[in-house]
Amino acid sequence: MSLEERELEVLIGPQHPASGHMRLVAKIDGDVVVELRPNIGYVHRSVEKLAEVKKYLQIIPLVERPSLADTTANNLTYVMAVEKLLGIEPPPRAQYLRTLLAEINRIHSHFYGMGIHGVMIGSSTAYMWCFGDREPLIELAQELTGARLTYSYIVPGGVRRDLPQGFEDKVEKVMRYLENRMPDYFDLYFNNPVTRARLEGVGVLSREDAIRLGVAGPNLRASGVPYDVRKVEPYAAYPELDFEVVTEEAGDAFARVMVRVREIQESIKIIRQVLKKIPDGPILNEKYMKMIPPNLRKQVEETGRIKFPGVFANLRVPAGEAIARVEGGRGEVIFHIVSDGKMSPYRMRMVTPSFRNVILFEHLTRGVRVADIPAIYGSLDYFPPEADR
Amino acid sequence: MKFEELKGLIEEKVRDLGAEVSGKEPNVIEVKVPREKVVEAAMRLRDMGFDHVKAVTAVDYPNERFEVVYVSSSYSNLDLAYFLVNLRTDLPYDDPRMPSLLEVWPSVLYQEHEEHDLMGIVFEGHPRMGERLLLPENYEGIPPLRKEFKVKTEGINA
Repeated sequence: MSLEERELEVLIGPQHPASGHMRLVAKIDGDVVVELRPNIGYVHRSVEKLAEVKKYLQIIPLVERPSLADTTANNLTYVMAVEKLLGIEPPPRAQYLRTLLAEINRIHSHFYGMGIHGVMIGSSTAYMWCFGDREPLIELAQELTGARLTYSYIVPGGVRRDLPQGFEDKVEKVMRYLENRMPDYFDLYFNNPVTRARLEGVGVLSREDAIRLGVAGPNLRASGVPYDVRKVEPYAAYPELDFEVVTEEAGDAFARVMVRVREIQESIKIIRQVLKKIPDGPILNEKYMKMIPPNLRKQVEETGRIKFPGVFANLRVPAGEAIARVEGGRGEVIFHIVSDGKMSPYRMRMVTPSFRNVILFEHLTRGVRVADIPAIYGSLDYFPPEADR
Repeated sequence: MKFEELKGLIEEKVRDLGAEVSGKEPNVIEVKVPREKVVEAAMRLRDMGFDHVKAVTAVDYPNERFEVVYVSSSYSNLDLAYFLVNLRTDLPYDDPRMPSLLEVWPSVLYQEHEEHDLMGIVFEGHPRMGERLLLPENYEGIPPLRKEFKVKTEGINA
């Protein structure tokens, strides 16, 4: 039989094959993938179009929704782009609080990705553990921001809330728990011969291809490219903090998981430094602080919770263009905003790491076994709603 | 590398293409070229080390023009990674086509496809023109990201 006759088309999805609704169209010969095309768009929210009719502050929750496990990255990038246009800088304390939330979020986003990957290759325990260990971090974020996932914590000129009382101790407790907990993951999951056999040497992405295809985040660093926005174009409090850019050389599914594990350890280091170094002071830019009526300002100072100045309701952003980038948990987030000086952006382009990485589904699956598709899919920490936006 | 130094270097490389080079401190360099020269300009930028595209943004200025912006930067040269080079080109409103940069930058595969799908720009030479990406396969009508496509609201301005 010729290849055309032997070839079979297999549809994986779109009813939630793993981490959200998407369809993979695989052409297979026996159990070898000849070609695989991702079919995305099932969970498209049209964020870019909606942004053109929403006001600047309303867009904050809008941009968070697509990346549910990694909302801080989108929140921060969007606000940084708006701040560039406004010419507003947050005060130092707010910069540290932004960094704190971003790192808490990075850890629980990595646990989310690792857990989903675990269950995709048949390790239910890894899934249960990751989702269980994600919980203390979500609780921390909740105490800081008031929400479990959709924080909307970062606003133009600062953040919404100051540190709660006794927060440092709670954070330290969680960090110590994580440090003691990580070896268990190696005993049960990472050093498990079954896991190794499923992931090592599978879905190898070479350094050249990672660069050429514009891959983002841990998937890029697992192929030996030491690119991390926190180092390349430092923002928030990162210039003052000491941490390493984690890279691996192998470029396979296992290396991608290992980058995330080691980044969790780096994040723990960063969080401790943030709490040690965080300066005193206001958490909202002086200009906006002065716009809060005096009686409310007193309340803000006592409770550490910002009341929005009236100007936020109809925030006008000067005409111009701004591009901001941030290293989120899943990778680099880009916001490109074109403003014409009105109350909504003229055009807002939002590029998420999952959208940048969708190209890997085609690239990494050529010639692999069908059983390796989930092992590769999971290792990319790909999240369909984030790619569809 | 310094901002002015890089800007000068890029200016030198693309001057003969009729490019306008400008910049926004501290790290954004704008390169505007006519659409006939966009592939050549992209190739020269790539050969300088700008090896991938982070975003492709198409902007609609009704009845005037479309502007397509390629935000490129470098992964292989970390000195350049700090800089973003925006390669821009204008397209006439009644003929929004331009050559695809896929051959130069494979990283634009999905981004050009999306701008084709939602903004109706035609990237000549891109293998997926005419296919839908995010929209339903049977969608017909105005590309939704164009200004003439109005978002229907239910009378509640929330």
